[in-house]
Amino acid sequence: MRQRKRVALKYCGGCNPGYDRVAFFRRIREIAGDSIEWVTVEEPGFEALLLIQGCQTACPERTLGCVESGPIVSIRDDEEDPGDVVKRLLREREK
Amino acid sequence: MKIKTKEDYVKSLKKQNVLIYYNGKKIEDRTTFPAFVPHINSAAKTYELALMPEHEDLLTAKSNLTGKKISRFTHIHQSVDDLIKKVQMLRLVAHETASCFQRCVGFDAINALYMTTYEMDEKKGTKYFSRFLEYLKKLQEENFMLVGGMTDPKGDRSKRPSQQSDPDLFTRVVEKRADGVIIRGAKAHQTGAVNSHEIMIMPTQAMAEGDEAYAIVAAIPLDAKGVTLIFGRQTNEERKFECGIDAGNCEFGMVGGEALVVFEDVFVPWERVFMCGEIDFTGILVERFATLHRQNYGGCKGGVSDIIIGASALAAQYQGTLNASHIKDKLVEMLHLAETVYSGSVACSALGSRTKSGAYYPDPLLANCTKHNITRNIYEISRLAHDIGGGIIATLPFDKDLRSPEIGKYVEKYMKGVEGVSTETRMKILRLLENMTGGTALVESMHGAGSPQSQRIMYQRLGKLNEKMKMAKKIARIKE
Repeated sequence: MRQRKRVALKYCGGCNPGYDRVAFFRRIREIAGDSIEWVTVEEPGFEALLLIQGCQTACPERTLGCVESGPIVSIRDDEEDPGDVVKRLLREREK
Repeated sequence: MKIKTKEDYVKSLKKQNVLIYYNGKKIEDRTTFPAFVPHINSAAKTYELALMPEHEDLLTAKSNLTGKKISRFTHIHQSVDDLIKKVQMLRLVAHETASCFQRCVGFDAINALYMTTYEMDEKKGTKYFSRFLEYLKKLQEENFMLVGGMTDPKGDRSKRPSQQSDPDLFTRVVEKRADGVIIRGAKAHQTGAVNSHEIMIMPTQAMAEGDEAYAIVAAIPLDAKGVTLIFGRQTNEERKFECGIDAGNCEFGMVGGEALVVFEDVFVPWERVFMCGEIDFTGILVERFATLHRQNYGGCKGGVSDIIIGASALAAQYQGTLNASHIKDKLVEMLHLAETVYSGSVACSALGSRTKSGAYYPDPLLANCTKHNITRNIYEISRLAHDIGGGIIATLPFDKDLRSPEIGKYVEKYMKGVEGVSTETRMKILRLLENMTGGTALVESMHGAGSPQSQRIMYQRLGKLNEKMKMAKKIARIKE
C-alpha cells in the first residue's frame, strides 16, 4: 500500500484576500482524504508544497524561493478545481 | 508572563494594578469595565491572529536577536519585505476589528529607538543600545503590550519646554540618582494605554540647549508608583455600556481608547533609561518615530475604510439603491480613496532603506505623504458614506425603540427597506456606519501620528524644491 504523501501547507498572511482561503483548503483536504499527510513548512521532509495565497501578488512565492523536493502548487484564487489541485500535489516529481 | 493567547493577555492585564480613572471614578478591574473591553478585544486580535496558520505569515516574524518566532509587533524590521508586511498586517487586523488595535505605537517606538540608540552610542560612547537590546529581548520573549508615549501636553505652543510657566507641561527628569531618574509630567492621547502593560516615554519634539531635562526616553510599567491614567471621552461612548445595536461596533473600539498618562515623580531605574539629556538626538528620534507611525496609516485606515465601503454598499443594498449609477460611482470613488492611502503605505515601505543599526526604515517623505492623505481621504470616504447611507444615519431610533412592546412595531414597519432584509439588519449597518464615520473616529484620522501641519513641515524639509527648480531651468534652457 502506498504511503501517504507528506505535503506542507503554507498560507500567505491574508492582508486582503479575494476569496476564503481556509474554506478553499478545507475542500482540498476533504478531497485528498487519507492520501495526504498535511504538515507545516517548518517540519522537514515534505514531498510537495501547497501555497494558498489570497491574491495574484502571491507574497510567499517571493519569500519562500524554492523547496528541496517535489512540486509546488501555488493557488492565487479559487478558480481552480480542488480535485485538480489534489491531483497535482500527488503527481510524482517530474524528471 | 508570556503572552500568547487572548486569555493570557487579559490575565496579564488583571495582574497589574494600574490606577485608571473614567468619568471621575477609579476603575477597579480594567479587564471587565465596559468602556475598556472593546479596546482589549481589539488589541487581543493581534495575539489571536498570530496563532492562526492563515495569518501567521504577517503576524509573526523571526527575531534578529534570538532567531525565535515572535509577534511582528515586537520585531525590528530587517528588510523591505518586513516593512511591507507590517502594512499588510495592519490592513488585515483592521478588517477583523474595524477599529484601532493600538499595538503599532509601541512597535514604532522600539524600531525608532533601535536605530537611534545605536547611533547615539556610536557618536557619544553611551551604552543605551546594549541596554535597549536587553529590554527588547524581554519584550519579544514576554510579548507584553507597550505604549509608544510621545505627545506631551505642551502648554503654550509658542514656548520651548524650559520656557513654560509650568515646567511639567513637557515630561522631564526632575532628579537624577545613582540608581535611576525621577520623572514628572504627562503624555496626552496615549493610544491603548488603559490596556497596556508598559509605556515607552520619548521626547515630543526636537530639544534645544536648556531643554536637556526633557530629552528623556524610558520604559515605565503602567503600575509604577506615581502613574495615573485618565481615559478620554469619546463620541457616543456610553452606547458601549448597552452593547446593543446602537453601539455600532459593540465588540471592538471606535478608536484606540486614548488616555492622559500622568507621571507624578515616578522612579525609573537606569536599565530602563535609553536617553537622558542627549538633546542632539531628540530630533532624529522624533522624526523616525513619526515616519514609522505615518507609514502605518494607509494600512490600518485602508483596512478600516474597507469596512466603511462594505457597510455603505450594504446600506445601499438594504434600501434598494445599490444599482443606482450615482451610488455605484460613489462606491468606486471610495475604493479609489482607500486604495490610494494603502498605495502610499506600500510605496514608502518599498522605498525603505537600511540604517546603520541594520534596521530598515521607510522613505520619510512618502510616509508623510501617506499620513497627509489620511487627514483628507478618510473625511471624504466618510462624507460619501453619509451621502450613500442617507439622513437616517443621524435620525435612526434607538435599539430599545425597536424592542419596545408599544412602539417596536412602528420602528419595524417604517425603518424597513427592501424585502428580505429585516429592519434590525438594516439598523445594524446604519449604526456601524455612524460609529465609524463621525466624531472621535474622524478626529483621530486627522491628528493621530501628527497633525497635518507637522507633515507639511516635512514636505518643506524633504521635498527637494531647489532640485525641482533646477530641473525646470534645465528644461526651459535657462542658464542664469
